[in-house]
Amino acid sequence: MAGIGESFDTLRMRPNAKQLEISNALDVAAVERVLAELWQNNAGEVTDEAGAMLRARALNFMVFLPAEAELALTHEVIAELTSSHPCRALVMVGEKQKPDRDIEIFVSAFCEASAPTRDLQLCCEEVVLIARGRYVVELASAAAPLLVTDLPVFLWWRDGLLVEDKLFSLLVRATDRLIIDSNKSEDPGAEFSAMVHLFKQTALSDLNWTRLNTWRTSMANFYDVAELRAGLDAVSRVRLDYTAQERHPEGVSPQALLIGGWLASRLDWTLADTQPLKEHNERLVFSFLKGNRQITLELTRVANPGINPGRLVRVELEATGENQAQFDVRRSDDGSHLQTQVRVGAVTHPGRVLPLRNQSMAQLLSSDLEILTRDRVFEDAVRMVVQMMRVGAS
Amino acid sequence: MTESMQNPLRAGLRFERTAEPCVIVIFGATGDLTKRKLIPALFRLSQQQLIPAEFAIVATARQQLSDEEFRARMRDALAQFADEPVDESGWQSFAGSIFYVQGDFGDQATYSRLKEALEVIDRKRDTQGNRVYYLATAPEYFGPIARHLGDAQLSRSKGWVRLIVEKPFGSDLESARKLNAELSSVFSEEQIFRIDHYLGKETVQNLLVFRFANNIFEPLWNRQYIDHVQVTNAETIGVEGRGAFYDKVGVVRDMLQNHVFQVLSLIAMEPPVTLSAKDVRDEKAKAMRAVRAIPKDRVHEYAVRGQYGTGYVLGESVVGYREEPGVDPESSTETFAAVKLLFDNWRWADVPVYIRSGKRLQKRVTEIAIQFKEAPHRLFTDTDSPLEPNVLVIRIQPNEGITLRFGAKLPGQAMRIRWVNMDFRYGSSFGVKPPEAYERLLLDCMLNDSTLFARWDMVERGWELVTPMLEAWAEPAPDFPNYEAGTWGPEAAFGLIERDGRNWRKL
Repeated sequence: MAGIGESFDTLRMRPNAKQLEISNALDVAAVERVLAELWQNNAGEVTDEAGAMLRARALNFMVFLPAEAELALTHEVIAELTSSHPCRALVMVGEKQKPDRDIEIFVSAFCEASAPTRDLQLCCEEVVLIARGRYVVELASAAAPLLVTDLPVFLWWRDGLLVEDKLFSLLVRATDRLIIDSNKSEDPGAEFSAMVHLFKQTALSDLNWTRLNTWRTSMANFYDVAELRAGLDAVSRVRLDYTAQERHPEGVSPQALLIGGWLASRLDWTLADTQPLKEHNERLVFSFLKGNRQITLELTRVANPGINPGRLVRVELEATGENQAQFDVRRSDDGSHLQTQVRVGAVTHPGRVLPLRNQSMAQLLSSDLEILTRDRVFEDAVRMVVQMMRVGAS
Repeated sequence: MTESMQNPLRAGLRFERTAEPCVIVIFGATGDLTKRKLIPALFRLSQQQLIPAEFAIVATARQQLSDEEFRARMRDALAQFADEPVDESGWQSFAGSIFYVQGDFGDQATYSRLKEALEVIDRKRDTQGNRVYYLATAPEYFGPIARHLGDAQLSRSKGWVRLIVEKPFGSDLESARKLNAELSSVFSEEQIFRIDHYLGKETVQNLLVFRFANNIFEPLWNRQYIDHVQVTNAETIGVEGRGAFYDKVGVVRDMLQNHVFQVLSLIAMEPPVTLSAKDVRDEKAKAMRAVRAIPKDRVHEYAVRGQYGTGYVLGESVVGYREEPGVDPESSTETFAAVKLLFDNWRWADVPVYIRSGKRLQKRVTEIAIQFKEAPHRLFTDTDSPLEPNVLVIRIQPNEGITLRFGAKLPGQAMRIRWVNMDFRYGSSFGVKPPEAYERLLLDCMLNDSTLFARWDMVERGWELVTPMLEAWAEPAPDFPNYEAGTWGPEAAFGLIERDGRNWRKL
């Protein structure tokens, strides 16, 4: 591993961050020493108006990027994240396709005013490691000694899931929780299968699952009412509408698959071993069984320019028989709100309208950084999605 | 309470508990509390989906208003008091659950109209007969409202019924017992939720976590290692336009009997067997039963009172208490009290607790300081700085957090010790804003979790402890004002602790 490059590129470093150059003989002690200098410099500049500057670290936050061009966005995300999760961030850039170049390291520390009172300076340390070509695999061994002892380690992996990849395996081994985003996937089927494989190794979060929290809560709320809960045992049809994905417009949106997998796994439905029905390439209909009851799950791609690509648009559960009812959660046309409604027979129950803000990446991550344990409900949903995709492919 | 076991879709969600369908009936709904705290809290709970769609608010007050007029007022209040911009579509959806019933609290016809309205709402909004009655009125109405609710058969329902009572709960032991008897004749203790918004504060709840999730403190938490405890509840503000109210109350009734004693009980309690409301409140009540009562004729030995005169606070000249609007110019109401309490139990025997609470003091701070005994043997006799005791400070406001003070060697050849603070601040470790106390408490009541509400035995014990003080201070008239605004209270307060060879912390 070679020393630090002399030049500072604003793309590589967070704008306005305090940064110091590291000498050629790079080692852990050198990085720590540079960070300590940055803290001292920052502390020296704190004025009465700015309040105290505090160094708090609640976690190690590792990020892997496949391209240096994504650094600027990552800096912004980490800066926003600091207000709720002060951390040491280790950002690794691994450009495998580029000519070999040994690891370069850049160190910075920066502070943000704390949100509630604005009188504290919440500070974060960021170490950027950039490697190219054959040196990419060395990133894990360069990052590991820089992890702060005794703090949980999160890895935000911003590349495709490459379970056979050496670097990925090494990083996952050092991680308490792996965070990915299936919305970015070019091959959702492979991605979900890879997730199932990874469940044996680490706790795993999918930001796309986090985006569905409001949807899942809205649907769960229907069945908190004891009388309506009977409707769950009479569901015969589920309609899931979604917008086309950006990278894989012909495929089913991972959000729709996850909600379908979640419903089927939570309600203990068994996937029928028959190929799903395909209608005009826009609708896919799966069949499930619960005892003698048959349930159809319809995944329909709809066009709606007001809604982001790959997003869920509507979930409707239809119960038949004695407990005939319809439970409907839908996104408004401009994508800004969720509307819920229940009809039991001819009676319409009170619904509500909830803001559905597009959460920033930092807000989504923040929610996942609060959890260390495995999310068994998510894991069950993904396993069901993998089953559905297998049946679909057969 | 709805739990994931009952609803398979709730498992794994961020909030595994949500309130059951219900109606919250607010008495005194045109008052300040409703618009500043209750409606913003309920709106936020609704937007977070912590209360169900099958929910309604019935606002009750004397003014003649339509549903629409009351909703419009609450919309304006949200714009004024909510922390973030109000989502208009979300508000419109929420506003549809708000209804207004006009009436005089002393008129039985009001309750008949209320009953009819609740029956209609139950049908329309599927609220299933579950009720929370929130008494946000002047305290003199608490008893009459409860009685009328009973007379109108509104204290019973096909669902559950709960009653939330704001403070003050009585003005002395006798009036508190009378009020409790009035409420208890209609509602059972399990139905009564006495709100103390201090208990809804995140840092107060953190006291339980701090004490009982960390094994390192508990072995030190006793008379063997602790020299004394100081509780400071200092405000820089005066009576803020509430002079007429405050003049009948004073700091002992307003702060000591409820907020301060609640916090003290969390410091002094034994570990509960579980975190159930009963177990936690049993231990709190047991701790307060161990507080030695101060006999009326010895109050002067254990307590000091004060009232602020003119002075300077935060760089501004301020008027004395007796010059505040609404205050009697000859008022003998105390705006400051310092008290020394002792516990008669194994854990705390001979460990005094010094409490000071007051208005127009030098600095706004609420904290509990646990001062440890000195090291048993003095090794560092050559050091130029005196040895100081270790202090553990739990700050409730502002800058919520915990500080541990300990000695460290100054770098250099000489053995010099400096006393340093190791600081944990909530704001620096968790930058997110905690929920408002009222959000937490309203939700807890709807979930039937009374842990953070004051049980009658705690309220009664609080009055038992302060009533001798109030009686002793009733006569003769004190020589007020006896402290300048912007100071730390009257001289006598310093004497109270200094005669034990101790000092108030410099804050």
